[in-house]
Amino acid sequence: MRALAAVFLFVLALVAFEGGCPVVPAYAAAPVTDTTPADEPTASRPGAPKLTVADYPTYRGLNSRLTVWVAAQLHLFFAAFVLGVPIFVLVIEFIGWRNGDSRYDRMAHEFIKISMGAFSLTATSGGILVFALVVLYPGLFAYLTRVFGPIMMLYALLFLAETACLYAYYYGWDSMQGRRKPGHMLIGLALNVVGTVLMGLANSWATFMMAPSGVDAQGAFAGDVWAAVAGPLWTPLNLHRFLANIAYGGAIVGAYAAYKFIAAGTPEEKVHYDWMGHTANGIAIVALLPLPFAGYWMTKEIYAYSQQMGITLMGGVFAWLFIIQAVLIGTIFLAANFYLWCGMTRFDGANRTAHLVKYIAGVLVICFLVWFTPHTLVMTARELAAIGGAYHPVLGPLGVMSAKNTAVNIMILATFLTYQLFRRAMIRSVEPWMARATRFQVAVYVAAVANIVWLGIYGYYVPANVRIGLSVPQVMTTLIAIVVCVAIDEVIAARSERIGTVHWGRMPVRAQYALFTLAVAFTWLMGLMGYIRSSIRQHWHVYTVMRDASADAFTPTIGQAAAVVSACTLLFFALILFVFWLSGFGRDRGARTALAGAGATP
Amino acid sequence: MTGLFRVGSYSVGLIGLFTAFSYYGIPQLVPEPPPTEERMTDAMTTGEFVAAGARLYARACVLCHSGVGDRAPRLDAIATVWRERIGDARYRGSAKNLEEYLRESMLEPSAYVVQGFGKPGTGDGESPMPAATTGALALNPGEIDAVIAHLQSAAGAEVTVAPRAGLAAGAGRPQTEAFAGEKAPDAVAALQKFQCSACHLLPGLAVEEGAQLPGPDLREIWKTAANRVAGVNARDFLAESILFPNKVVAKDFEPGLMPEDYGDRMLVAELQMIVDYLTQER
Repeated sequence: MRALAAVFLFVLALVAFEGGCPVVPAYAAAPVTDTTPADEPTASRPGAPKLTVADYPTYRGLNSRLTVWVAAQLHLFFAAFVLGVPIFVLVIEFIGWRNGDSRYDRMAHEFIKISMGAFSLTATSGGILVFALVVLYPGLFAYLTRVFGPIMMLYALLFLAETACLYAYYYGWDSMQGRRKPGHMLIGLALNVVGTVLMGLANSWATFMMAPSGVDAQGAFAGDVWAAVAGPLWTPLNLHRFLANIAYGGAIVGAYAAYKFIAAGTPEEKVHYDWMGHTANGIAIVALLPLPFAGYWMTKEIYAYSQQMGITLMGGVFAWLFIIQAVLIGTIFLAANFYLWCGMTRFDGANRTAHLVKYIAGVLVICFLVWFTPHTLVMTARELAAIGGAYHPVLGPLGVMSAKNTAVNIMILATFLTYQLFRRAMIRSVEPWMARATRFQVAVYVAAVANIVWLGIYGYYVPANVRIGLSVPQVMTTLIAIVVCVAIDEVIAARSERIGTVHWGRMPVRAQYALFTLAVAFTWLMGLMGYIRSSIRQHWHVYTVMRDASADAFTPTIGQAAAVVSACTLLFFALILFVFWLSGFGRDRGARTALAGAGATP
Repeated sequence: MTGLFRVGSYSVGLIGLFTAFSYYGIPQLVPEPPPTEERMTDAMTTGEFVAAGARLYARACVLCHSGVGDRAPRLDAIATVWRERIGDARYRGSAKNLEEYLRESMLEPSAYVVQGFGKPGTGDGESPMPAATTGALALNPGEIDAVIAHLQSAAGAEVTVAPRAGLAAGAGRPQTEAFAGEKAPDAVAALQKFQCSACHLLPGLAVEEGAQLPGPDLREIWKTAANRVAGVNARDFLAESILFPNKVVAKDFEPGLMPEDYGDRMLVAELQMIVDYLTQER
């Protein structure tokens, strides 16, 4: 019955979205005989309010910006987690169902159980955010409501549908096995569709504030809600957040598995949580690999919308934040690879490929250092004189996008190579063509790296707008190399013989801290990038149409922003560790015993 | 609980590392405060008007027109290149002189796009620059005039625009309080008003013999000001040093000591008087 209710609500929401619900305000449909020029606000089509400091109430000495910032960031952390997890849970459930392997099913169930624990915190933080906006920024909230009122109503309805789907999906898990499994997966699909639509709706408010559409230069809303939703940055942000949510969900459940592994009291538990951590790390990395490209697209669209905003982002004071970003992403890559390298100790045959690890580590570190190198530095006259110019004579060229794009593509290839070695450690080629295919794969790697490096060097000799465009063939080179190597690997793996035994649970504890590193760095990175995305509006609530007249309209220093991001991360980890701890009261002992002694790769 | 404590402690340590790097590994720049509207009056002198234009230019234009990163063309040679540009086959405007060309470039940036600076895919047919009266720039007509005056002055051309009274305000920007207060009658009075001699040795102002002052000696700055920064003349160098004191810091002196709010407190006329006074040959 719960499942039926969820489906009913979902269908109701879809009907409302299609037209059953008035998504356009009534006044927009009424005949208009207004002869006022389009950029002049009128009584029926008022512009964005022009606020003064007096329009911003204060509440018990709370810093308004800080309150909304922390509430929004916490909500985004939890929302990303609870939207990302069901996506890969459904995939894992499907794999288990297709293969008839109940271990996948149980792992998927445990993943969604953690997500359930975080769901109420998502709703709570969302409620705090809305109340904080209404109380502390009433002018802004009123304007956003004027534009997005119908969408906000739809959002509330869809949130109900999301809740119903999630409850039906989780509580129906055990009873909807066997012949009822496809029905259960349909509920999972509905959960993901509703969740993704919810994300898209909420994204439209953020992108409207960055790049308003559907309003004129004065902020007067013309009445077309869709025009306001589908702004120039909406689709890139949707894609970026969709991928990031999956990667983030993988990283957090990886941290859960790591915590459980460390706290495990029996070898069976270690086996189970080792496998879970391995799967979670894989999910996080697979979703992470295309993320930089989604980021490039987003940045390109920001430049296309407003060069001034783009330059503020990449060339002004915010440019330094990308050095912090480089450190965080470098940490993520190194932690994920370190975990995989540690994971090779599970295989008896791993010594055949283990010697290559040091070279991959070297490549990763070199690429990280290139990515980390700043270009245009804000320096004092003394520093300028000491360096001999605005750029460092040796390291300066490494700071430009050509070098950074080259470095990140090679990092991605190196990480993928680690995965390949990991897989190869488990199998042995039995036919001569397999050796030739492997040599072809090596050639693909060499050609890909050569092409990426050549395009990087070429970038130094062409104008900036051409140079930015070179990131596309570099990315395509990386993706083609990965797709070709995966295809060849699949064919080889299907015809090879397995060697040795996989000893799940034979994993050092330090590898579990690598999983935690991944989760912490991901969370901090999300907080940082969220701050950058939001603050490039500078002193505008809604860029160019509604100015922030509050006392907090200034841009904080990097250190101040970092302190807030850290506080949000700490708060999130305190709450999520509480969720992890609570999940220990669950009933998954069956899952752990089922995996006990499992020798083959699950 | 032990496991929880261990992973919790590890997470706190890692977050602490990221925070420490952001504080100590990255320079703590203080971003510009939100802009205020420049108040133009027809009582301003040309020097005051040009200085107001310089402030607007630094706030709204320099981010792109700095010569860094191929963002937008530099404008220091605009006094000579504008003729070539309006003679170019790609020119679609109607300007007849430098003032018209600059105004047209700000209001209709696509009238002429310098080669290599157009929007990607438009073959330099469309400029990525928004009209200066719109969007985040949102300069009012008086501010546009002031920027033109500054650009003409900086390029060594005759300043052909003058401040006009009663011009519309910008997009909701609060007005600056820069012109509040009693104007100093002359340069020495202005130097005294802002207590410049507390840190600098200045011409015409006595200082206790042997005093160790935290700022450089400016009694003979007129001899060297023109050579401090390549391409920047003595007057502009001194004006910028007063408004943005940390941009160029004299050798052996600490940055960050001189207040950075003279742009808000000093009248344009006072700034001009001080610059005139310090650049006077003695």
